[in-house]
Amino acid sequence: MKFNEGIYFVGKRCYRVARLFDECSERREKVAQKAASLYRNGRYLGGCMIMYEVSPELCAKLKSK
Amino acid sequence: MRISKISRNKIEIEDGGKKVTIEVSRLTKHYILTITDGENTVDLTVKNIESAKVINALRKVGVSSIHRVMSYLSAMTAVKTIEAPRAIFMNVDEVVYVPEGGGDAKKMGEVVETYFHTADNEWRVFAKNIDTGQYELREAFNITASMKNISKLFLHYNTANVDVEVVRELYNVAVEVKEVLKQYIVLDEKYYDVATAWIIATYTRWAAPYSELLIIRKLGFGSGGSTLLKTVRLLSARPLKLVVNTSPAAFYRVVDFAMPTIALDEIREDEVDRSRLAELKLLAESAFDAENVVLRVDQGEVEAFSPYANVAVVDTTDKFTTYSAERRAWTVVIKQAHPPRFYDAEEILKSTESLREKLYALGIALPTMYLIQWRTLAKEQGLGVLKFLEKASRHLCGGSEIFENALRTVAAQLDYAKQTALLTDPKRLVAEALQKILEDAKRELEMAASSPANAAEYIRIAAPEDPEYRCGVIYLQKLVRELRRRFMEVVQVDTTKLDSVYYTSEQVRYWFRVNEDVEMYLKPAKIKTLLAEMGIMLEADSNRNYYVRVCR
Repeated sequence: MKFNEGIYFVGKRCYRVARLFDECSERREKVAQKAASLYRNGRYLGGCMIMYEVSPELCAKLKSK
Repeated sequence: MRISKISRNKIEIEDGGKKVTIEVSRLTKHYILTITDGENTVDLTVKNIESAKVINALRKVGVSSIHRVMSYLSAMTAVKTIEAPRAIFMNVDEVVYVPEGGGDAKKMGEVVETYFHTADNEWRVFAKNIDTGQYELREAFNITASMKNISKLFLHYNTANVDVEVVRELYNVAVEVKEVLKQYIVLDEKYYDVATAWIIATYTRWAAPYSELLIIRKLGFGSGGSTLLKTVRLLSARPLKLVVNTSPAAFYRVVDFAMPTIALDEIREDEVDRSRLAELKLLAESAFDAENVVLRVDQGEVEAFSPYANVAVVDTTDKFTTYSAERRAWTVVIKQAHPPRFYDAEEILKSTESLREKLYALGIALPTMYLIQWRTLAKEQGLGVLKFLEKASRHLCGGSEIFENALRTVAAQLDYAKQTALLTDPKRLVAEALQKILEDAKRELEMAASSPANAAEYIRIAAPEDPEYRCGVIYLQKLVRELRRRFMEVVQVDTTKLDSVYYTSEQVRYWFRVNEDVEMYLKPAKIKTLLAEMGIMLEADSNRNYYVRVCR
């Protein structure tokens, strides 16, 4: 599955996909990987994109922002 | 003292100029803690974070506020455990995408995860990896099962390994199962295919809405019905060991959790205890539909159990004839074997070990990987699962002869049952007789109208309401009498067999009685409802006599 920046709902759970840097470099990739590991259920998706679980409240906020 | 979180599973504690880092990771059921204070490192393996071992280790490295640190650690390790509803269950979640800052939600696909409980009391999950799109097997740690003594309850149980490639072996597996059956029992070729398909279907039925019974029919005792039953049971999914004198609540708990294969051999009313018989009949009647539940009181609380199971029955005594006539069952007719074949559980279990592993893997992989096709086909009661297996085998393995034959045989069985349904439907017979009486009454009115001079000769059923014989009424009493008359049959008795001196002169006597099959419908209240179902309402006259009005 290819992910885009935004919110993903899987059943009741909510995940945010974010691009940390517009231009990605090898060094920035490492930063993104480290960042992904700090979040709950965080995952590095490649291309400086990360995915992590967010609470339902934050999810609702992001959706309407 | 200051506690800072460094990463998901690592904290740093600054306490009086001393720095301590604690890292927690999980390995199967245990937590591994690594505590470092700059000079020394301590490793601990514990089952519970809140244990004396951890507290002592923290004290040793000089952490002052044990409470705060412990609460941090337990928050980091808190994984919600879920009590599993069944031994195999599927989670299907839609993936919906919403662009950040608002926009239309878009369905991106589905996440399908199948969790299953294995013989060594572990949980595994077979699911599609979202990133790679490949199916993979993982261990699931946050699920607990309500049952432990698996090996005591079942002859064999879910195996731990599911390989994606197993779906390509569906047909080979079917051929192998058929070969095992051929070694132990004698059947017509088509029935080998039905029994084989039923056995394979038992492994996939946890995901289906219906579970058709396997009814083994034979012409008399000692034909090898029990051998077939036991062999089928040994090869089917999660066969329950013979249940002796169980409490209903315990029995239903096992059935509810594991969806086992249950073999019922010759339910003989005279030999089985009445309450147990009722239990078995209830099971056989309700096990076919995943939505049925049985309510039982357990320690003062009402609990709902699902009796959904794979049930195979030997039926010489025709207790299950009506089920085989419906879409609830597949039937196999057994032949007498010469010389008789002997059933050897140990040998079968030993020789089919790798076959069973493949069967369990197939049962999990097929519905998970082909969920859309599975859902569309399996919802048809009677043939759905068989249709799916036939299609899957044809597309994945290039051959499906066994399933095709089984499908043809079962379809013919169900079709025949549908055509001959009237035979087993006494209510329909009564309704047709009622219809006929009403038509006869109308014809009588017509004949009376065409020759009024002889009207008294024609009119028997309906009392005319007007001089032109347009309408008439049939009193309910008369209707009941007429119906009973039409269902009269002659019964013959051989009086020489009677123990009475009065009957010595004649050998055979006759009398009339109402056909027993329909007798329960020949009561005013039942006839009233039957008429209502036919769209005819009863009316009452001034003397409160009920009647049916007929007009020509």
